[in-house]
Amino acid sequence: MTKIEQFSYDNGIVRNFAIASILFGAVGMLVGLLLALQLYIPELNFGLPFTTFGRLRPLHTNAVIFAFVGNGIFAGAYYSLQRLLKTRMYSNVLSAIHFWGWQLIIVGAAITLPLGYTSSLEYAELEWPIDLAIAVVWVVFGINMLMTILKRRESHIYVAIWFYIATWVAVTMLHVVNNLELPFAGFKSYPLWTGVQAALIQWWYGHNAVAFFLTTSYLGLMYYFVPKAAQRPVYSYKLSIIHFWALIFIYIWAGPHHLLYTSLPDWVQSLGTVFSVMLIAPSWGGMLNGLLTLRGVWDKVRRDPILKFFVVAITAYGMSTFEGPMMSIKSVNAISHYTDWTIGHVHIGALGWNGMLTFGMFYYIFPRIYKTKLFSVKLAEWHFWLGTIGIIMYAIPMYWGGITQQLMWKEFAADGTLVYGNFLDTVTQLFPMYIMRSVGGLLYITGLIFLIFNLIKTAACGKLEANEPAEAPALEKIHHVNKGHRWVESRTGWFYTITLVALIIGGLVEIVPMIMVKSNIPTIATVEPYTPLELLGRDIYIREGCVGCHSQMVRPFRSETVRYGDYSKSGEFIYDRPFLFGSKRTGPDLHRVGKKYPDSWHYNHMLDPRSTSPGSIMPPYPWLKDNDINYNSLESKINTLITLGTPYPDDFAAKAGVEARKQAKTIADALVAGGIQQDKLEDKEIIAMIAYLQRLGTDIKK
Amino acid sequence: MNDRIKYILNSGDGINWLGITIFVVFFILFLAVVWITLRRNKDADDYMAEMPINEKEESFE
Repeated sequence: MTKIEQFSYDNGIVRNFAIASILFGAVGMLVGLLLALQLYIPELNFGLPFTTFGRLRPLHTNAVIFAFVGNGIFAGAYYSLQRLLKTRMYSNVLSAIHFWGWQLIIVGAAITLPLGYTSSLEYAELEWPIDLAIAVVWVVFGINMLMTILKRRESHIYVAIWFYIATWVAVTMLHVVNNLELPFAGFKSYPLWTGVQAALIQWWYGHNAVAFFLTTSYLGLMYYFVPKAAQRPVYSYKLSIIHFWALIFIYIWAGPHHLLYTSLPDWVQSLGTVFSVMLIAPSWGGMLNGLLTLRGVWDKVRRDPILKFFVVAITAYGMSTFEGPMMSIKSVNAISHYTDWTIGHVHIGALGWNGMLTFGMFYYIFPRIYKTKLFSVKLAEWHFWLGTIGIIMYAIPMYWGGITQQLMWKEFAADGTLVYGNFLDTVTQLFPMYIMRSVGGLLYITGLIFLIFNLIKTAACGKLEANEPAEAPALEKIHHVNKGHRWVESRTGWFYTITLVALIIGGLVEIVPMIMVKSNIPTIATVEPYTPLELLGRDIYIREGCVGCHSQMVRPFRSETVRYGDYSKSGEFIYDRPFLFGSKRTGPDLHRVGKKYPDSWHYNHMLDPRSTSPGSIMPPYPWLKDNDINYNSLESKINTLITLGTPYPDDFAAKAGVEARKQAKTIADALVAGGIQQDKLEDKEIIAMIAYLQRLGTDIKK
Repeated sequence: MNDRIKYILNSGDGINWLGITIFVVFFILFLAVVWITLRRNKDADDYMAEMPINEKEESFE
């Protein structure tokens, strides 16, 4: 007779991650609301370096992705893993290291990003010490999960856990490859990858951060919590198998769709497009499997706010996974890219799919771990409607605004000139949409406040059962089945291995030829490395987060070449560490801005954008005229770049400071001659910034 | 017939063979997974599909 074993579930760690998710989620969303307001009330940048849009935007994205959603994943995964495997987590110590380590990383991000320590790679902005910390904590989580799976009391591993495994394997691979960098200071580094290759690797990472952090993990949560809340089995377990393998194999290829019409080689763009369109099939397979799990209990959906949250979450997943492939078709991407359409798209995913699933999950978990009823179902209902209406009010203006702006960018008059030659006209046109968006965001956050109140009251009514007693038959031997997919479902090592193989193929086929085959990036003889002063200016540009609003990639469209100049070529970026293509044009593209305006224009524009561009929403950067240029950092920067392959002469690092001061003096003298009066102007950061801006896109004109 | 094949191959210039190869590889793998999946035992499927709801849990509704 099988022995029944007694053990306990660790609910304490679930509660901790849930609280962290909610608290950091509130912070991340409030920062998002501030950013939304800054776009039509630029005074809300407060004239401080730490509160400008450029520095806060990565804080918002990181807080929502890694703090809100990340902690949500861990809360849900720790809750479901234990119950699906019928065992406690392998190690309380590893769970605690994972929890506190992750929160320290978030605090580190919250401090360093406003201070301007950023790699500028989207969703991978954190600098090298934090990257290392993420790797360590992620491995701790991985070991804890793997060992828990190994000591399970269930013979076969349930589909939700396959998705957790895929999340862990993929994120490990993506994080390591995309963050290969060489430090030159305590919190600064230059990346191993450069230019177009860096762009491909970044978007292989960036897209799959969405795919494997925000999607596969949540699909795992969906496969556990939707059946639980509905008390219905998964609609089709067969479909879940096809969904899983097709999704993880295809997803990893789709990254290049973020670089359509850029100077990325056409063959990679085509692969990105084809696989993105193919993604509809597995994505919708998963969505339908989730929704059809509710067959027969739709009456319960009417009464149960948890199921309502899940239905909206899965529907939002379906919407964004239809929209994403459509946006990956080149003709659609020509309209959507660089506009608020993309912002609307990601927020359907983040607010709808991740947010609503997280909320539903917490409403499910809290009463169960506190052994009480939810304090107020009515309040949860209010939260649901505020959240849902908030998402709609957020997304629709963004779609409207995105299409409006791109069409304005592309509109020509009968005489062949641009109707909206002044970029600002296309920005101020969007203000009504920006206002509506922030109202949508406010509603969503109000709903979150309802959740916080409701869960605090729920917790107060009950008592946390930190170690919940459980029992299950002992698994004396895992019953391996030597047939079909059941074979791999009981073999943990093989499951990890096959998942890795499925994940690695796409990256290898796309990235290796890009690095190995030189003809992918035709070199241009006149393109040279940045001068030391330009390099310093470039690092200030990165610090201020200018890439958040300004692209550096002129696409080969007449509307863009007329507005900005010659389209961008891949050979122009070979010394760009990091690459700064950007993905949004809140302001105009800057790749051909070099020599377009006099130095004095840039000086005045940086200090007060509205003095040169009336109505501009760009924040002023007065500290650039006060801060001294950090010439001392030059030697280590140049040496690091030489190590990475930038062809500076061997003895260049030692004399880079002198070269930089000489160039700064020339620029400062010209500014003074032009009537700008400031003491020691040549020592100020504004001069380095001007040097960099004036260099942009000029090499091919030599 | 040979001329027809020769014509098709000659006019194949510019085709993205890498993309097509990957596409074919994917569909072979995909069909293999579908085939393996469809041959699954229904009882095993039902057991797995019900795994989350088989667990005893207190209700707090």
